[in-house]
Amino acid sequence: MTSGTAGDLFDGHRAVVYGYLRRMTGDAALADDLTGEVFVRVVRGLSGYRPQDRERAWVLTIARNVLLDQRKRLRPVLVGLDEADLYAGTGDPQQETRVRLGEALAALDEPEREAFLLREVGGLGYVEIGAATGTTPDAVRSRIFRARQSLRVLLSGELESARRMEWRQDS
Amino acid sequence: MTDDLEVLSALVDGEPVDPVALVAALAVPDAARALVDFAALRALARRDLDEGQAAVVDRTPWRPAPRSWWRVAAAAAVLAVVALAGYSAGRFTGGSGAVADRLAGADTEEAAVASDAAPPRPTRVLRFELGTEWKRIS
Repeated sequence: MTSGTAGDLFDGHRAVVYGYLRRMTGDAALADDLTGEVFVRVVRGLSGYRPQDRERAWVLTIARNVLLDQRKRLRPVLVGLDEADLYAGTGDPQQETRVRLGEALAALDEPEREAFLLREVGGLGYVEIGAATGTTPDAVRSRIFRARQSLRVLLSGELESARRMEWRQDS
Repeated sequence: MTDDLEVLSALVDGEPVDPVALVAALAVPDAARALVDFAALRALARRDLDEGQAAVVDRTPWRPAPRSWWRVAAAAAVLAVVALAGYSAGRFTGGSGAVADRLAGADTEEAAVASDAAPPRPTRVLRFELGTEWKRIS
């Protein structure tokens, strides 16, 4: 394990765990709570960590299990309402983009949303995502592709803006 | 066409792809646009993560700074010096009066009480006067 202490684990992975949980639940406060629970389990499970596993993949697998356990306890929370309530119509392009991203992700089938987030937020490879979600790398590849195709349609305006931003950075 | 573009999706993720399938994918009219969109989606997701990370920092309760051995040693040294100074101050009171007296500017009666060179003076005196409770027996 590259991290020396539980604090290092927390500092190294909390943002990614929170980002994944926030976009899976659509609830920032819930993601906060679940992130804390994830790292409690991480500390408790340190003895079970296998050195051949990548640390990030291991932590995100725990995060996924925390999320599944939470859903067994409670009914699913409506997605995206908190950010939409906060930022809709504010005129702030960045915040409105976040709202639309949240809404677009919420519109995806959950396996596709999860695979996309584990890839783009968690930085996991297809093999790691397959291991975390109990499926094959080929299935992960298909899910991520379908997620991207759907998001291309749902976020066409935002993608146009993102392309322009990248060009400005290059010039 | 859809399957062809899936190869590009995997390529963007750094996953192994079949070169023959890649050639076919690049021949699709939408291929270039798809590649750019995949990259743009990644940029959106990363920016969303960064903004969420800032929120995590704001929400994270105060955590104490990592303990360093030198901080602990320094704190222990300060405590030791203070304790030694207090002990020495209590030992070396001398005939000129108690240290407490010199520091606090206390009066001599309190100084005598503080000094351990002589028995402490009484702090309370009980006076018994002839009265109803007492009778001289001669």
